[in-house]
Amino acid sequence: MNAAAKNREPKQNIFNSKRVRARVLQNIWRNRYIYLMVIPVIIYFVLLKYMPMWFLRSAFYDYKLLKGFDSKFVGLKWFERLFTNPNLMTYIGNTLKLNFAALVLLFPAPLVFALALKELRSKRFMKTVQTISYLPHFVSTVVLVSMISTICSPDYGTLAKIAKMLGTKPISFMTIPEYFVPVSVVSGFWQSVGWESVIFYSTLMGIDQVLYEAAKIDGANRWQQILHVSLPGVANTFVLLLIMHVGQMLNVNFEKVYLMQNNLNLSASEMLPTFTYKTGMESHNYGYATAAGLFNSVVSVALVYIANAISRKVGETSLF
Amino acid sequence: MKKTLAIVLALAMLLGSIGLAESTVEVYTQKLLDAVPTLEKSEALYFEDGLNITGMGVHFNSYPTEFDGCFYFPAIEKMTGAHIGIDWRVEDNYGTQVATTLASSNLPDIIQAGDYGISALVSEGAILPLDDYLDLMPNIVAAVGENRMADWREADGHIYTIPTIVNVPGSQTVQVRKDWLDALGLPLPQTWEDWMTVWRAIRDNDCNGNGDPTDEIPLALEQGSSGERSMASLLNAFGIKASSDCQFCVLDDGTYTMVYEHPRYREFLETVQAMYAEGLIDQQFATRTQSELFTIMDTNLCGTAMTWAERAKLSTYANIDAGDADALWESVAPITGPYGDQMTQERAAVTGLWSITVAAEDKIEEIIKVFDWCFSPEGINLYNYGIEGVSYDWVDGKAVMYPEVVANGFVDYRAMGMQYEPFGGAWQTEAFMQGLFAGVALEDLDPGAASFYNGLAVVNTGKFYAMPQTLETEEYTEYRAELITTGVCVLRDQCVAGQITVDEFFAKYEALKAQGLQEVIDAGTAAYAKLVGG
Repeated sequence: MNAAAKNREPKQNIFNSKRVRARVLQNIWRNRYIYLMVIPVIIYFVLLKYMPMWFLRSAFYDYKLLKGFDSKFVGLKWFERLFTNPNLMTYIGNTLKLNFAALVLLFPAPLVFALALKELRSKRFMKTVQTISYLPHFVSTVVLVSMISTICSPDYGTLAKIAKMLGTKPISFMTIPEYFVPVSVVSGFWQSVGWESVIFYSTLMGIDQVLYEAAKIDGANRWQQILHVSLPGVANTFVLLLIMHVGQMLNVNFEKVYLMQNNLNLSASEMLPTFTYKTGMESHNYGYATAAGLFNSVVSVALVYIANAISRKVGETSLF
Repeated sequence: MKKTLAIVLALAMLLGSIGLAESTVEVYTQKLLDAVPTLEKSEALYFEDGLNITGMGVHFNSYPTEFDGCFYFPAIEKMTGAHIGIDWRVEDNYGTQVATTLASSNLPDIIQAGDYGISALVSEGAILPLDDYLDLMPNIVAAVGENRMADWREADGHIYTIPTIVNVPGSQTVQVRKDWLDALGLPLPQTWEDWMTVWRAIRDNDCNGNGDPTDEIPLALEQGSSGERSMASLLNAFGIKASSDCQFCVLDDGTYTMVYEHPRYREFLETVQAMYAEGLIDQQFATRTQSELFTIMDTNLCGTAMTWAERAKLSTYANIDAGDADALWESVAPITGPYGDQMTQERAAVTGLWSITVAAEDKIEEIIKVFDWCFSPEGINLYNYGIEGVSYDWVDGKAVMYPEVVANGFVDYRAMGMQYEPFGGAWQTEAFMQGLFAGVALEDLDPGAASFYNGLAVVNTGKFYAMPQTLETEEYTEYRAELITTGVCVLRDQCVAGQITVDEFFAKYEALKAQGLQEVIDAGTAAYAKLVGG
């Protein structure tokens, strides 16, 4: 039989083979505990991520909780209202502004921190720094925001006291819109940089030591080792995380933004997720809130595709 | 060594025995509970086969629950045969908890709307109108009174709630640090010019004596639950009779509208903006929560404020305890405005509290009868005074509570379960006053307590105005978050803080009206006219 004829021959379903099926089942049984561990994750995703998608239909209803989908069907009413809302672009702009600042200033910081940690010679010192840097991650958002408010209070805050010591007037950081993004980013830096460096640090530790040895033999100093061994080693992880981060660009740290909001900084702090929350949970307009949330999700998916395409073209690494 | 050990052990035992000694609240809670089985069946109402009422409501920490051994609900059950089991929830995010209950379709018999809003429950089809059952609740109707029926009705003209009634008009009052004014050589302000003089003097002087003349806040303003309340005292000074959330008012011609439509509002805004720029108004007014206001009042950081009258006493005590022996938060009459207006909001006497859900449609009449019994003389005595012979006695035809019950003012009195505000009822002014005076004669009250009394019952007398309620029309419910709390309230605060001009405020306000705020105004105006017109 020639090659062409061989290709024309219908492919045999490998699962038809009893031997293969038995091997698969055997494999599953051998790894049964790993499969068991996957079950809760599958349940989590089905229950909390996929099943709720069915309820996205409520964006087309004047949805009432008691009536469910017996509520009045209103078609695209809520989308029309959303797209004619004169503040929509401000909400999107604020969201992107905060996320862009976070992307530029916060996203590379854990990588830099992980590189610095790796270069430390004293393991004990490194572990101490690592532990201290993780701690802020475990501070709840509510506590974090009340700490920010206290520190920034122009009445009795630490910054106010420093300003007075320097003979200047205290600045009300929490009520001046221009300070919203800086305060949010700086506090985010303190809270997240240690914890988020874990992934980069573990990737760095996974780089084959032979590469460093080879670089040393070639005469590379530590800076050159970072540049030519460490950074290429974490590049894939960095890009994957970056794409995922871009996908989350419209999903700001909702709790933190919501808690930091007040009437005087709202022109900079009102974002799509906080608007969605207020529409749904404060105005009980669930249909409108779902429409806003759906729009948010669609834009997020688009951003992921764009980031993925750029990454594939520029860096030859992509998520899909 | 042995001696030291013996002393330490003796001290430990002494402290332990003090700790183990029952407090007055515990003693009376037990006494009241023990007395419940001795209560007689009510002749007015008794369910021989029993009645079970389930509920969901907001609980405040100052009260016990039935789980803590509160006598009130077992007493109602003993006297009427009706068992009331409330699923008490915390106040935070109560609206979300109501939403979750609605989504579960597992409704209790009675429910408090809380911040979810009665109109939203109506819109959900979750609660029943009670208009057809008024003849079953003569005691409640009488307690509300003919002239307050409009306050009981919702914006659509229907009654959906069993109310709680508080016949004490005073609640909040303007307070001034009298000792600061004395030190500055200034009298209590009477006119708008006097007030401006006082605020400027507080701003310019080191009144708290900490060496920093810049940290005194002349007029502290409280933000309220979502930023609406902060301007109440100043709105009133400009003759604007605002609703409790400071969003609506009734004009002189009887029209119900938003405060921004008031002919004096522009002038008010210009004045307040200038005051902010001058540093006379709390620079943190937009973020000053109630607890933060209390903190700055307690810690010598502000000179004047408008808040609960009780704070005059508590903050005075806090400052004295902190070593400022002369401290006194004096309750004074409302701020007099530039045109001589001087007024303050009267506490809403009738507040809708419990709604009967569609799940209880088959026993609505029985539930109403139980509530009505709570407003009967028997129910009122139980609610306000507890159990006769245990917490009070009749003296010359008047219920007089035992000195131990009111010795600690409202604190112990409420902790024992009296005037059980989370469940509501008809407050008796007499019982309220007994709690207020804590068994002490008026002339024997210390300055802080006297200031509290003055704030409640003296300085505002004759200056109250009937506060219009915020009418929760369908339009209001739909646009509240989008166009009011995060719309016009934000613009107002931005304008006060100088982020936008007064002209810009009005231009943006007009834009909000075009977005739907006009619908809110029109619906409110129409609903009010209908309510007042009967």
